[in-house]
Amino acid sequence: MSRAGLACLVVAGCVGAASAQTLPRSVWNGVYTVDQAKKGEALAVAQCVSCHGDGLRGGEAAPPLTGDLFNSTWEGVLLSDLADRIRTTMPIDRPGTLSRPQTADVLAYMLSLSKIPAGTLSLPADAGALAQIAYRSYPPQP
Amino acid sequence: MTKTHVKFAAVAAVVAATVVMASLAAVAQNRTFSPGAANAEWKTYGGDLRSTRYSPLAQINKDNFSKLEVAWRFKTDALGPRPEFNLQSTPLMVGGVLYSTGGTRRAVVALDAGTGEMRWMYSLNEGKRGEAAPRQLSGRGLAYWSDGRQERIVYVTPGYQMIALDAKTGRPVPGFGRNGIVDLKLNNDQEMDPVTGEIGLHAAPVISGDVVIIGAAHLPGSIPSRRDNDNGYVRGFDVRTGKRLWIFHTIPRPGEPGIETWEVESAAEQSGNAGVWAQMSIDEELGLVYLPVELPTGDYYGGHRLGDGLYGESIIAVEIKTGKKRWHYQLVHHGIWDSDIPCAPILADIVVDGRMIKALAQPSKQGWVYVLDRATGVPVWPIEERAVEASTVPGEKASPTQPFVTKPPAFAKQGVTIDDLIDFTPALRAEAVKLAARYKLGPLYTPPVASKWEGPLATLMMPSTTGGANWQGGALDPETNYLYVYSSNQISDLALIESDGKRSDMRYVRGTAPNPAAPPAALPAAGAAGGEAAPPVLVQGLPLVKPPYATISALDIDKGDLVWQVAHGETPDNIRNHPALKGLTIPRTGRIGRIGVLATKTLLIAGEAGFFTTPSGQRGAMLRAYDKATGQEVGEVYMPAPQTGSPMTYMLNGRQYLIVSISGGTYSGELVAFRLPQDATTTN
Ligand code: HEC
Repeated sequence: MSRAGLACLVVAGCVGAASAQTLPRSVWNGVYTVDQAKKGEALAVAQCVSCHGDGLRGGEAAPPLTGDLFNSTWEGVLLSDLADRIRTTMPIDRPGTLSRPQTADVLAYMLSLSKIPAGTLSLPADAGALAQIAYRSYPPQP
Repeated sequence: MTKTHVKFAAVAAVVAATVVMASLAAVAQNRTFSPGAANAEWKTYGGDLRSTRYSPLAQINKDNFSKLEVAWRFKTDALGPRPEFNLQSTPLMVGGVLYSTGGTRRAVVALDAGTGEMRWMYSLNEGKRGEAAPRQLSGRGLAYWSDGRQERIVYVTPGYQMIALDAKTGRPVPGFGRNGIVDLKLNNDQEMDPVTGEIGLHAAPVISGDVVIIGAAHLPGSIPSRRDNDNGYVRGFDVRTGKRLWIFHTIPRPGEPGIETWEVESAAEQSGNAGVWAQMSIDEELGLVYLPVELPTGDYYGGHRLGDGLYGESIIAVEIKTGKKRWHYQLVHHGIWDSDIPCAPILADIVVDGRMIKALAQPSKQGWVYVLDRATGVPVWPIEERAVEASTVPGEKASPTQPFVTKPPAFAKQGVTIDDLIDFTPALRAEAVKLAARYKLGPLYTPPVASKWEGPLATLMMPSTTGGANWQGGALDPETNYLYVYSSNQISDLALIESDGKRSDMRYVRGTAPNPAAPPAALPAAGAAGGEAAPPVLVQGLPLVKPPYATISALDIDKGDLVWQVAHGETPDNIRNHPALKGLTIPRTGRIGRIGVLATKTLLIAGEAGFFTTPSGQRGAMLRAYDKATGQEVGEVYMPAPQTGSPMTYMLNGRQYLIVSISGGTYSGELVAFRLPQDATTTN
């Protein structure tokens, strides 16, 4: 099979997962701001840590939202898919209560926890814009 | 059914008695007749009440496993108000019908076991009570009961109500509780709020004869809001009427035995939790149910509950009919590591140096299988009290000794040394050493520290606070007495900070100290402090610990040996494609998760815990089969999402089925049924 064919298969085969080649932007391109992450932290402390643990490191009943386990699940997945997953299913006892901007703030906080550097523009709330950014747990190669 | 059951048990007792006096051949005979899932069905959560997760079926074998095809799928999205992404169910199969919990409200479905077609569905909308439940979602399973005439399905809702359904129709049974429902928040020897009372259960009930036994689960206890949280007592109920038969106080009350293990008697009265959230096992011949108990309130700080604190982290053998305690064995004294006993003890009739022992093998988060005589609670091999480090946290008094298992060897890495840290390249090792310098390292049972930004930030703990083993437990091949268990090798950074009193009335709660020099967070956090948080224990996004990250082990529990251990789970993409590992060949690392294993006559079967880009380029996970004697992989099948519920198997119309609960990431919960193509089944 040709290389192009393989890449095509990769894209077709995975819902929302993107191969590195097709997406120039990742979370490492300074996609959120420090202020946004702070807002997200306040929201997470109020609405997420009771289950996901301090620093969202995971509890007995809910998985971590940072760290290698999280990374291995979400590697290469589009932020639009991750945001939708949060917005439509979390907090698990009150799903559907987070607005899109709030979801983006929490996501920004999650990125900051993973020591992904902030930039000057906020993470957008809009699904189309989030679909341009892939989750990567490591910085791009020089 | 009950009658035949009793007769069956009596025969078993006679055989067992003969065996004690007779030879090993007789032992083998005994073995082939009792354990495992009988009649090609799967009637209880653990395959049988001994929790062996073993089936004598043999049609699917090493030569044909990779030919398995999807027979049917059942998506659970529409069973609740929204899709679920963590389907943990192990269904039951009785008489051609598959029963499972599913959906975010924990509905019950009956499916045609051959096609997946829905026969009936039952769901209870508990409103606020369901929303406030500490253990949400579809749970791990349900129980089946029959007296040969009536058939019932019994399960516990997220809001802690026990419901008995007519297995034929899915309708609540009128004579059970009130219209089929028993409110488990009542009649529990304590007052609790019917809506917000913090109690539930996601394990499956167990039933022996006419007695159904129910445990309790709470919220995770790293930052408990109240020291006097609700208690997790265990109760027996009449499966015909729902009437409470007995209650066992997992924290002794004044005047009850065990209270002397609490330095301050009022602390016992005040403490809550100590539930049995794990699966229980039953020996019907001995008439005993085995309760794996968790900690009293406060997972990592014991300053409010000084003393060994029975029955925290103990196995208790209780009479099924009366709830009276026969024996107990405490695995961890005054626990401060969240070593809740997480899974069903596995009952096995073992032969040690020619002597037959009715044993119980308890996998644990801390990486040991504790093997005890299940009639007496006495260890089969010595379990030694050894000195462990004292705690430096104000108000805490760690136990000076802890029980150390001498046999079989641990199935997980225990404790953390520099040698355990990532060493793919010298640069990564150097970074890991630098990071580790900010933490306290030590052997198993090194206590958590009060966190300091300048160090130690935390104790590095392995196995992690979630194990080791966890709720999925293990499996046992009763023909060889090999016990199989999946385990994670993962580091927790465990530390305490003083509580500010807002989120918890404990003196200390889990957390790490912030950087005092950094500006505070926009809003002061309610429990933990704001400011710069401690770094994650990762090196360039990679786990701090060396692989394997997860394994399956085989332990010979006749001999007390570790027979084999393999990494389970393909290397994740974030590691395979990591720039720091370019040019290196990384062997299969294993994947962290909660993976239940299934033993059959022919194979050991387990799905993977995480997504990866499979050889065909699809995002998914594999269902794998191993040679039971050697651990060699003998087959694999593609699944679109990881395994999240332990697999089960049954035979229907001449064909063996394998059912796996899968979900995760953006893939919602689904039961997948595999079977061989028609032309591949002729061998059986
Ligand atoms: C009442 C408990 C609870 C609360 C509160 C909660 N979650 Fe969850 N969360 C869970 C559980 C349980 C799971 C695992 C089941 C699942 O994946 O749906 C989960 C899973 C997740 C996942 C998927 C993780 C993965 O790797 O698959 C994300 C992302 C998530 N939660 C984000 C959040 C965010 C953000 C908040 C706060 C706005 C939040 N959760 C609040 C219980 C909770």
